Parts: sequence; structure tokens; C-alpha cells
Amino acid sequence: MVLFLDGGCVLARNQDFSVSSMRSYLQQEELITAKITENMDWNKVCRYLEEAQAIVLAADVYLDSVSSEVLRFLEKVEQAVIDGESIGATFYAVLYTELYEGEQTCIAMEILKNFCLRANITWGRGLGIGGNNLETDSDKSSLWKRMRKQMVDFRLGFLQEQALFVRERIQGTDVYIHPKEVSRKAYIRKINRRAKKINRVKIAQN
Amino acid sequence: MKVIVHDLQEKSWQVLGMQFHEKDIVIGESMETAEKDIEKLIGSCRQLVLISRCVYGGFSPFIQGVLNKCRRHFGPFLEMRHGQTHYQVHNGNKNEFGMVCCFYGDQITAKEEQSARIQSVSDGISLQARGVKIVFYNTVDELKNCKELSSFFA
Repeated sequence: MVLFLDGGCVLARNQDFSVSSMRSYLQQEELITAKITENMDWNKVCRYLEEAQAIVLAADVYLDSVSSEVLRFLEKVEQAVIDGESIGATFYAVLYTELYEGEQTCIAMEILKNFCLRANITWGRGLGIGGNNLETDSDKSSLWKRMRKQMVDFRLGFLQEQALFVRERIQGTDVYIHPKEVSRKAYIRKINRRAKKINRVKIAQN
Repeated sequence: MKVIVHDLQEKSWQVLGMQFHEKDIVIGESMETAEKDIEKLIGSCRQLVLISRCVYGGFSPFIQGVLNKCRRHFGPFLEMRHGQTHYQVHNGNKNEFGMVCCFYGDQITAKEEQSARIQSVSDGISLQARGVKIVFYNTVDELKNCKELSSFFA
């Protein structure tokens, strides 16, 4: 059984993006999703953690770390292990950042690895994805549509690769990716143009 | 003005006995500070002191939550700095405020210490701080020995 933990990945195209792109590659594997919130059913999650053979955490990264909710959840898991809970699953991470370079999630990845060491959980593999805000651009030009399609494909391939690692429960080297089809400067330009547009709409609405 | 953000419990904070100037601002777990206030404070202080438990080689959930609340203080615009994309910082005191990160906790491993150091420096770059000082202590009481905080102890 694979437990998919949604740590509030707003930057993914939609909340099901990571799950749906990995689902087909997990084949007949049972996939259970749980959203990390303050009011989550802890007993239920605890049971899942115990039964799971693989845990996949998908989360957004701001200021080089996962959100405070995810950190609180990890601390709770560690405490459960100290209290006698046994987690035999392998831990995989998919981290999203709005910044262009996927490498900017590597500090958050280290934090997750440190958690695994503390909680005696085997680290599987990390995938850090940069440039996630690109596809939310609402520009309707045909060129942009083409680029958008490439962008989604680009992320999909790596997510499916991650799903294979999850399915086979094997460890691998962490991978950090960015949208190669778009240059760093072009990405900054696109994001800033969109932000300006949103600002203008907000001002007009006010 | 100095802004001190800490995750200590009320008792430990009182025991520490830090003394502040009138202008200094303290943000703790027991105090409710609005998102906008945090943004303004961090955007206008001369020194930002973060006193945090070292959690897996990073800030504690409370400190990370406070830092995340400053999200609007930078962004949504991006810019290129040091060959990487970073959020644009809106405040007027960029490159003028110093950042002090005090981590405490027993059994901090070498890996966690290294990770916490890298995160602190990286956050300093993101917030466009003038400089970042990082110190580690085993207990909260040892914070009294911290040179960077000596001005708060009479």
C-alpha cells in the first residue's frame, strides 16, 4: 500500500496532479491519500503509516522549508515512533517551488532526510521541481499553449519516474528539475507580467 | 528597532530575563500577531533575532510559520540574484538589517547543524539581510552566553 501525503501542494497544477500522474505507474498498488491539516484524523493516519510500504510526501517549499503544518505532522510521526509505532515504509518526497531552480528545494529535502533518520524511516528518493507557476499563466496565445503543454509533459515524466521508484520500493539519488524549455529570464518575465496583471485587476476591483 | 521571534514557552522566556528597549518587538507563540504586522515589522527592523528549536536541521514549526507569513512581504515578483531566481523584497531596509539565528536543542546532529546553517544563510539571502549570524546551544539557559544577544541582558 502506498500512502500519499498531501502537504498542501498549491503550486502543483491542482491538488491531484501528483497523485494522478503517478497513479497509472503504480499499477495495482493500493493508493491512499491523506491531506496534512491540523484537524486530520490522527488515529486513521497512524494506521495508514503502519500499514504502508511506501510513503510519498508532496509539499510546497517556501523559504527553504516545508510548511509549519508539515513540520508539526513530522514531529508527531517521530513522537509516534518513539512511543512504539513501527513504520517500515520507504519515504519519498516530491517538493514544489515557485522559483525557477528545482535545486532550491534541496535544503527542505535535507530537512526531510533528517526527519527520516530521527524517525528510523528508510529514505527513498527526493524529487525537487522548480518553475511550477509557469502553467498557471492564463495567456491564450497558441505559442504559449504549446509551451504549456511541454511544461506539463516535462513534469509528468519525472513524476512517473518517481512513481516507478515508489512502486519498486527502491532508493535513488535525489533529482532536481526546472523547465528546460523556458529560460530563467523568460520565466521571470512571464511570472512578473502575470503578477502585474493580477495587481491591476485587484486595483480595478477595489 | 529590533524584532525578536521566539518559540519558547512563557516560563522559559521569563526565566531568560531579556530586557528590551521600548521600540523592540517580541513575537512569541503566546502572542497573536497579524500577518500584516509581521510583514511590516520584518520590513522595518534593524535586527531580526530568531530564537528557534532546531527541528530536523531547520526552524521550528512556529518560526517557519512566522517566516511563511512574510510571504507577501516579498513576491509575487521574481528577480535574478546570484545567478538564481529570488522573490523581490519590497521593504526599504533591504541590505540594512542584520539577522541572528539562535538554535537550541540537545542532540543536534552534525548533519542537522549543517542544514540549519545553510537554511539560515539562504533565508538571509531571500530576505536580503545585511548579514547572518548563526549560533547553536544545547539548552535555553545557554542563550544567555550568546554574544549577539548580550545587549538584551543587563
